[in-house]
Amino acid sequence: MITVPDLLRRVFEKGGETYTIFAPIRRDYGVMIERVAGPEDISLDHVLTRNTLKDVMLPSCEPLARYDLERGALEPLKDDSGTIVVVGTRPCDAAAQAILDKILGGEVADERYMDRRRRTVMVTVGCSRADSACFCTSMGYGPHDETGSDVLLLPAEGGYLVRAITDRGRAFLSEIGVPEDKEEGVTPPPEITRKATTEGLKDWLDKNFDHCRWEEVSENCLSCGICYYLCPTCHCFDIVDEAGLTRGERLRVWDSCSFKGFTKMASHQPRVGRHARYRQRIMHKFKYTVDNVGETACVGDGRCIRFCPVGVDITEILEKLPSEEEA
Amino acid sequence: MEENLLPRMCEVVQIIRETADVKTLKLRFVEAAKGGPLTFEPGQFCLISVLGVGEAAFCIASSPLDTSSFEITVKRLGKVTAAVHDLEVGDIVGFRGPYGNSFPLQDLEGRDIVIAGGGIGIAPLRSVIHKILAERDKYGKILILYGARTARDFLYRSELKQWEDRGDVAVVTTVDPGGEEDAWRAKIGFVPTILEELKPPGDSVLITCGPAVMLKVIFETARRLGLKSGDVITTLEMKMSCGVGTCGRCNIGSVYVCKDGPVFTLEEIEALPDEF
Repeated sequence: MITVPDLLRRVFEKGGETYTIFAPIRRDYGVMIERVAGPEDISLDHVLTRNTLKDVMLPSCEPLARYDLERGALEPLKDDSGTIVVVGTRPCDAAAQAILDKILGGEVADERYMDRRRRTVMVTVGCSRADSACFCTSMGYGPHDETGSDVLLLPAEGGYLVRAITDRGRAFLSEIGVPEDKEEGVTPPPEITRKATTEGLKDWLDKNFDHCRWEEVSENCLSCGICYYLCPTCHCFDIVDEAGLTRGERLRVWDSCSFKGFTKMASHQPRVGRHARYRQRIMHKFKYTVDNVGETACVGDGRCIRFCPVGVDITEILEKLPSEEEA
Repeated sequence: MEENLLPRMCEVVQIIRETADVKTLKLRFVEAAKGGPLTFEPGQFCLISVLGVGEAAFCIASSPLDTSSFEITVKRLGKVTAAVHDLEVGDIVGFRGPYGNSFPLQDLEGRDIVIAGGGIGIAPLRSVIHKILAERDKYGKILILYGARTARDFLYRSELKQWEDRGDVAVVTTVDPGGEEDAWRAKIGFVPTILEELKPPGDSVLITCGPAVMLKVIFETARRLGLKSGDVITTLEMKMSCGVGTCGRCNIGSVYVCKDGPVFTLEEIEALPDEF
């Protein structure tokens, strides 16, 4: 049995100098997973952090190389963050990482991402509370799910029970001198009240690319992209140059299928209309990723529901899409 | 860690002005020993970047038999293509690739082949033509149908003349209606129209590339001509950032044009949503 601040203290004692440590800390605008300087910074009174582990594993704007325009020479920028320890992420965000590992670690792996993942120890804290937007159980996960975690801390009376999930997690626990707990006594997980029906959804998506319901469900969408930015599995990116007169950088930046420019070429635009962009979002998560890596790219964290400025609710849409007879 | 999103650097060794808005650039790796020669198959593409401006996907337009250098043919249309047009001999560009699949030429041996290109779509077909003509005996009848907007918009003019002069290849050129000039003696009409007029036998293979709007019409034409959908082969263009299947941009349905294509048969395209 341990408390999260105590565990974080052990992490700092052992690897404060060598590890790159991320944990949830409270900011004016919400709790964020960020690099922390000491064990005292951690926040514990949140359901979910505002941001996701994408900020750690696939940063929103990351220089890949810098160059000298005069000489035409390009210097790759390495990420030498060493062992990355994430303490206090939630099970849904850890599960999202397992999905991204399959997508980005495929035939041609995204080496920058995978390298970071190989150096990461994920210490997840099981949920004691849930809110009305959470729907993880509908996606096959749950408040105490272990998918994607190396170590899972499960809430119990007076602290957390320590469970090693992977060999890496077990080795890490022995490295920081925290014993595994074998005993029972985990506090029952909070009830997840929101449900998303995915029965029949994949089948419907396979057959209904051109269905008129796409217009209907995307009617309110502003194409603002907030759902992309806050989604733990959305990972699409662009590669751009930013340069001054003599020097510049090549950056990998987040980019969203919500935006018109996402597929626009100088010659033509193959994806026309807001409904087509919204369809891409749903199809990518619930069909294309299933077809390609056998996973649904949604963990039910519910951020897209909490923060959509116009109340677009993905659980309502998933229910609505296959619900009625074809028009 | 092997970074696969960063380019190898190439020097521009020659620039050929093809038309008012199209140039062909011959490129060679700066560190030849490190980069080695470029081996690729017809149909594969690359990402070319101009430092300080950005990166864009282009087909490799030269003969796969020449590995000492390679060529891209670029129409000035957007930001990166404009920067490519502003390059001079000796300038440095970034190269990533070769990426994607290629035209299945070994499967087409012994067959009659129609190669139909429209506009800048002739660029990937040029690589195919070079490979086929280098092994001319392996194939049946070869017909090259090439259409441009106007008589002034034809690329690779000297090669076109060489192909015409060989005698073992039929070459038909056409311009879009209204694009002819007084001296124009070849066909007038869009590529699909002329293809229909030429009536290739139904057991021919059609290798085609052009703007999406032309492809959609030529597919209809191919069906009317009785060509099998597995024998109609094209290469598709979508916006790409990574080139290796991770940036999430170039998909048509579950298929990623960068890694599952860019070469597809009509049979494969028919199974995809109409979003290209």
